[in-house]
Amino acid sequence: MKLDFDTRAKPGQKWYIALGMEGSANKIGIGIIKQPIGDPSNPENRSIILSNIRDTYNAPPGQGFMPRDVARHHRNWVVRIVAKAISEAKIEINEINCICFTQGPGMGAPLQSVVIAARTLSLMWKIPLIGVNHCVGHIEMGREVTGANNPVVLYVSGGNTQVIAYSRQRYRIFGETLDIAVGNCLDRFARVLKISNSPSPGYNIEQLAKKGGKFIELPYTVKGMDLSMSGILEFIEELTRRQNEKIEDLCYSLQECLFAMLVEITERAMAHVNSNQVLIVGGVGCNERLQEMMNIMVKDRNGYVYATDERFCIDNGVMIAQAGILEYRMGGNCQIEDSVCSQKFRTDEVFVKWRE
Amino acid sequence: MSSAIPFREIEVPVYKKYKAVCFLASNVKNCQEIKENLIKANKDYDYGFLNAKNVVSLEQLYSGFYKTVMSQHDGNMKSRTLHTELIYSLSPFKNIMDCLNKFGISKDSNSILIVKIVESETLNNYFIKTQQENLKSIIDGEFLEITDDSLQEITDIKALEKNYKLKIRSTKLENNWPSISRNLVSITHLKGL
Amino acid sequence: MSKEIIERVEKILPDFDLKLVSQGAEALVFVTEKHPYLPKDIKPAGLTNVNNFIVKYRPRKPYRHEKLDLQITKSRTAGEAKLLYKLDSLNIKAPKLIALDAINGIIWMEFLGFRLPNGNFSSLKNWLWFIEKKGESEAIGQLAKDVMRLVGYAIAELHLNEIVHGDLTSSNIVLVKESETEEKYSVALIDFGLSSYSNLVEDKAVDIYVLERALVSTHPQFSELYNEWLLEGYHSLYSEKKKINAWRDVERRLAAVRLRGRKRSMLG
Repeated sequence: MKLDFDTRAKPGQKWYIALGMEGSANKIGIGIIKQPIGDPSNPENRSIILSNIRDTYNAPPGQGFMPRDVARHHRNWVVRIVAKAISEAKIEINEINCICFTQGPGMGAPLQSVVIAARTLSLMWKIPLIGVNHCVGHIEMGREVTGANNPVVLYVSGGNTQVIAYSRQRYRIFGETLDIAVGNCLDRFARVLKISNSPSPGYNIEQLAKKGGKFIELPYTVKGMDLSMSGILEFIEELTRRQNEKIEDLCYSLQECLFAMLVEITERAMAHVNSNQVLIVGGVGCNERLQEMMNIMVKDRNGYVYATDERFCIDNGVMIAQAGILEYRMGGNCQIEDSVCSQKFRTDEVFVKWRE
Repeated sequence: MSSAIPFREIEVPVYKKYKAVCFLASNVKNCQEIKENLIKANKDYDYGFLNAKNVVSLEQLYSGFYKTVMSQHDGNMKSRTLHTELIYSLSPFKNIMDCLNKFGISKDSNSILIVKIVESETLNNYFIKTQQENLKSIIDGEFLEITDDSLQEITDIKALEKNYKLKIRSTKLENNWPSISRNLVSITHLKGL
Repeated sequence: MSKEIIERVEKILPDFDLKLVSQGAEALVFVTEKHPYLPKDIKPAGLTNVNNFIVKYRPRKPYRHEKLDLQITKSRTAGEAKLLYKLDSLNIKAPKLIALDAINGIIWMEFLGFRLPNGNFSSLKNWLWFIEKKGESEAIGQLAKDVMRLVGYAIAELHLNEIVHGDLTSSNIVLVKESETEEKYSVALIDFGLSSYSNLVEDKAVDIYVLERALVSTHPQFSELYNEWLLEGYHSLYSEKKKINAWRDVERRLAAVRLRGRKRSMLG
C-alpha cells in the first residue's frame, strides 16, 4: 500500500504550514512548522521549524505545580506566545493549513485553557483543527529530528513512562509504569530535598547526582515489561528524613536505580520486536546519565540511540504541529464538538494513518 | 580383616582448590568419645563428621561439597572451617549450632560420614593411607563402601521428614529414592538464598 | 556483543563445552554434556536426561551500577531456582534444578525435550511446524488436539497453584517423549525467568492471552483451533478441581483482555 500524503494539496501548493499548541503540563509551547509536499519520510522532505516558543510555569521550591495555577499561567501567556510565534515565523495567517492542539493526556485545567485558545483561533481564522495525542507528538518529533525510522521509543516525562514500538498502524505500549511516572518520581524527590524547580527539578537532581558516588541500595521493581516507582520514592523519602546519607549520594542512587529499570525494559522491548534503534523522548530524556546508560546497553546490541536536546525533549508546540500536520495530510479534521480534551488518552488509541 | 578401609575421593570442576576424601562407618560405638575430642579440637579428629541418617545419595553429598567450595571461593562462608561449612551446606538449618547438633555427630549417632577437605595438592595416596589408619584407630565401627545403596540403608526417613520438613511417607516420595534425593539436592543448592 | 558474553561465561565455566541454544534480553541458554559437579560414574537422580544439561546464564549488564547489578542478578537467579524447586514439589512438569551459582547468575537445570525427526528441538513451535508440513489432516489431527489440550492443562496447573509464567510462547513449551515406540508426549513449560506468584485473574488471563497471540503469529493457519483446544485443556483441570467459578472469572477476563490488549488503562 502506497500512502498518498497530498490529497489535500491545492494546485501549485509546495508545502504545508501547521501551528502547534501544547499545554498539557506546566509549559505552554507554540510552534510553527513548514513541511514540503511529497512523502514526509523522504529525508529531502524534512519539516522546517519556523518558530518554537515556550514558557514554563515553575512552582516555588518544595512545592509542586497546581493545575489551576498552571492553567492561569497558560491563559495569561497564550495570546502573546502565539503572536510571537507567528511574527518569528514570518508567515501570514492565511498560509496556515491547520491548528494543532494537545488533546491529551495531561492535566485537565491546563489542557482546557489551551484548547479554548485553539478553538477560538480556528473559528476566527477559519482554519481546520487537529487534535493530537501528546505522546504521539513526542514520537513523531523525535523521529523527524533524529531520522530514526522505526525505533523502540522510551517516553519518559513528568506524566508518562512508556516503552513503545510501532506495529500495524499503532504505537503499541510494551511496558509502562504501574503507578507514578519517572519524572514525577524525580520531581517529588526534589520537593523533599527542597531544591529549586528551575530550570527543572530533574535537571537539578542530575547536577547533584554528578557529585555523588556512593550507591545506596533501593528497591528495584521491574515487573515483566512494566515497572513501579512509588515504592522507591517512599523508600528514598524515608532515607532522606533520617539524614544519614548525603543528598548527592541519594540523587545519584535514585538515578542509577530508576534509569537501570528504564533501560532494562527498553532492552526487553528491543529483543521482543527485534529492533536495534532506541529513541528517547520526553523531558527526562534530556538526562545525560540516562542517555549514557542507554548507549552502553545499545552498543551491546550493535544498535543506536537517538535522543533530542531540550528544545524537543521538553514539551513544545512544534511536536504537536509535526504530528498534527501528518494527521492533517491524511485527511484529519477535528470538529469543534469532537475537540474535547481527555486527561487519559492512550498512545495506542491513535490510528497512525501516516505510516505503513 | 583387610587393612584398607573404603573411601571416596571427591573433586569438582571450577572449584579445584580443594578436594575431599570421604568414609562411611556404621554401628559406631564411640560417638560420645569422638564428639568430646571434636569439642577439644583434638587434631586427630579434624574431619567433618556427618550423621549419615540424613544423607541419601552420593549426589547429595557432592552437592554439599560443591556448595561448600563455591562459598569458599566466593568468600561467602557462613562458618569458620570447610568442615563445618559442609555440615551447614547439607543441613536445612540456619543456625550453626542446630546444624552441628542435628547434622553433625552426637553421642547417640550410629552411622557417620567422615569427610576430610584439604587443598588439592595435599591429597595423595600416602595422605589417604594416613587417614585410613587414623580413622581405624579413632573410630570403633564398621567401615562401608559409600554408595547410594549403603547410604539409603542407613537413611532415617522420619529424621528427613522432620529436619527437611518434607512429607515422604504415604506420598509419591515414598520409596522413591531418586525423587527424595532430588529434593534434598535442591534444598542444598538453595540453602541460604 | 554475544561473543564477549560467551567469553565471560566460558571463563566462569571453563572446560564445559557450552553450546548456545537461545539468547534473550536477559539470559543466554546453553546446553552441555558435563554435569557441574558429578563425575561420570554417578548419574543425577530423577532426571529424564542424564547426558545433557541446561545452563542458563544471566550476564551482567554493564549499564547498571555494579552493586545494583549483583543485587538484581543474584535475586532473580535465586528466585527462578526456587520456583523450579517449587514446581518440582508441586509435581508440575518443568526443568528440575541441578545446581546454582547465584552470584554469577547461573542456574543448571534439567534438559527437557528431544530431537524431532527433522532434527529440530521439540519445542511446541517446532513440533507444530513439523506436523503442519505433513498436511492439514496431521496439523489438526487427534495428536495435535491432545498436545494442545495438555498445554492448556499444564498452564491451568500453574495457575491453580497461584503461579503465572509471564512469558508463554510456543518456544517456551516443550514436548517430552513418554514412549520410545509410540507418539506419546507430555508437555513441560520452560523459561520461568519472568514468572511470579500471583492469584490475580488479570495476570492469568494475560498469561493465556500472550500465548494466544504468539500462536496466532507463529501458526496463523490453524491458530484458531489450537487456541480452542488450549482453552479446553485449561478448562478441564478447573472442572476436575471443581473450580468452575474461578474458570468463569478467567474466561470473562480473557475476553476483556482480547478486546483491549495486554495493557490496563491508566492515567496519561
